[in-house]
Amino acid sequence: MYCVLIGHTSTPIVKPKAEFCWKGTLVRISHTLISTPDHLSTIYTRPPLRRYYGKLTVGKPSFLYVYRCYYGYVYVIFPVRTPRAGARKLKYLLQHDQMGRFAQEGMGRVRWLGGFFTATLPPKPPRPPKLRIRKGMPPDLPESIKKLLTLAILHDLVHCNRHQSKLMSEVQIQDEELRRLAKSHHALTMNPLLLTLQKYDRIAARITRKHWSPIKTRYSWRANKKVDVQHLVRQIEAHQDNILTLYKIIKASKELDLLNESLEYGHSSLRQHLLIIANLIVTDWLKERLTLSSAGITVETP
Amino acid sequence: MGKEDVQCIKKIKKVVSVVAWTPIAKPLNGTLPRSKNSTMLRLAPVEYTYKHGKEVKSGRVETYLIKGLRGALRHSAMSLLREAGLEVCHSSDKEATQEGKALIPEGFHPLGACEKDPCILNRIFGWMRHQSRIAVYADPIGCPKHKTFAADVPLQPVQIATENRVALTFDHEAIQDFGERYFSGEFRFHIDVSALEPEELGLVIQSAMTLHRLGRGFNAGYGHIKIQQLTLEQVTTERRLQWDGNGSFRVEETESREPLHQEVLDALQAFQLYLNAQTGES
Repeated sequence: MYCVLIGHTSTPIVKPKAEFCWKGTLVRISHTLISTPDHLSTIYTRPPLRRYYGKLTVGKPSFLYVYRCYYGYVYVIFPVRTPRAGARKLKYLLQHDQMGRFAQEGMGRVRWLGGFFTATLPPKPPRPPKLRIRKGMPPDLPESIKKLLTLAILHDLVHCNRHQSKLMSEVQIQDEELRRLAKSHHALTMNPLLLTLQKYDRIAARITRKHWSPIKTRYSWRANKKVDVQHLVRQIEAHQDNILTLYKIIKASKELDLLNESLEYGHSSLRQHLLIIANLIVTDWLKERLTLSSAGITVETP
Repeated sequence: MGKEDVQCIKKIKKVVSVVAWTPIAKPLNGTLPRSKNSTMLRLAPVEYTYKHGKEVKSGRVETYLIKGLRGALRHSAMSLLREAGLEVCHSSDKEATQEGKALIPEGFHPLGACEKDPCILNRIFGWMRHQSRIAVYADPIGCPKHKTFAADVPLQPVQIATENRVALTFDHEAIQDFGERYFSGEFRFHIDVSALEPEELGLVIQSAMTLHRLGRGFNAGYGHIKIQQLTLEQVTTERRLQWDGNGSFRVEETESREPLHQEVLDALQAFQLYLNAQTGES
């Protein structure tokens, strides 16, 4: 049997994660309030609200003494082996009203609301599998997928209506159709190839753009040297017909990692963005979620 | 489950409750993303009810935390002990910067230098390897629009607004067009002094009485604090479990406060005796 003690934070709890151990129990902070064991799994679905305790400055990386803190409803979960031991534990926990760091400065104050007993705990919702970046492309790719992959890798390296080339110098694409598609990859279109690319572009951007941190140059925060862009452009232009070599060049390039994919997100990486798009496409094709038809490429929507 | 075993949990602590007033104070936390405004640490919004004629309506208010109360108390204690002629810990553990600029003023030693024989300030406020023996906390502050508000959670009503400022320099760089969140009014904070000796309690009470600044901009007229009331109380918190039929329970909390007037006088006297003994006065 398990006991679940529920509280509400008056001031945020300073902890690096919303789930942690405290006094021999498991604590989960959530945004939802439940009153019965039936809805216990919902505490994992809505994460708590987050704040930062410490000085934050716009446009600069955060200081080391900025701490993450969470507020919401607190669920303290512990096993009850015997009634006497459970009662003793509950009595011990209810004597506390603060948890986390900086309790001496008023942080982590908790108001206890109630709780319940449950025979079993629901399993945690499974995490989606991690995307693995491949060392190379599979050799037996069909032509249409190769075309899509080439377009995916080169789409941000040309000038388009939304932005200039993210490499700061435009890559000259020899294939006429690919060049036209790459230049209009932000336009409204009905082209299935471009629609597929736009979908994967959005997914990859969502994965790489994590922390909003505007920057005025294409160089990221961790760039400590100037990138030889012209050399990179020449290298890409020379191997644009062979997707296998092109992918290897992009993967091996440390200089491409110093450039930003977005000016709004100073910690994003252009290389990572391109690799993620390529890997998403290949993974979907291997798992047969990307299908080839006479009309072009179609993507199954779950 | 032995329900009768956990009917009532009692917790007793000694708390110094201080009522203070400020015309304007800025205990800020940092800058919000996509904004030029520095703001206080924002907490969860509080929902409340208010009377509108015969109707009862509900509202919602943003709440903030008053940061830096313990630091302000520490600085107040530091200046108090320095004036009395005692050498105590400074807030910095470094003696000088890399350029050789001295960081520790006269009358202080670096933080933690008195580890073998800790000074009174070190004993109370702790340092890197030692936890503080007091806890300073305040209920969240908010600015509800309605005067007849009633909230389930503790909330201190004060005036909260943003001051817009332009053309200042900081660190030889121009900062223009920015805002700072401030609060104004009467507020209350508490110091948990359950673990203190009488002379330490005396120091905390005197420091709280002489507390006069909070937050940034003191030299520009911000953050002046006036202490209006100070009470030492014994707070008894009782948590009772109300069992429902289906194995769930509610926690009902009641709090009773009992003033300890004589203990304040004893603590102040003990602190004076401690000072005399340390400085060698009769």
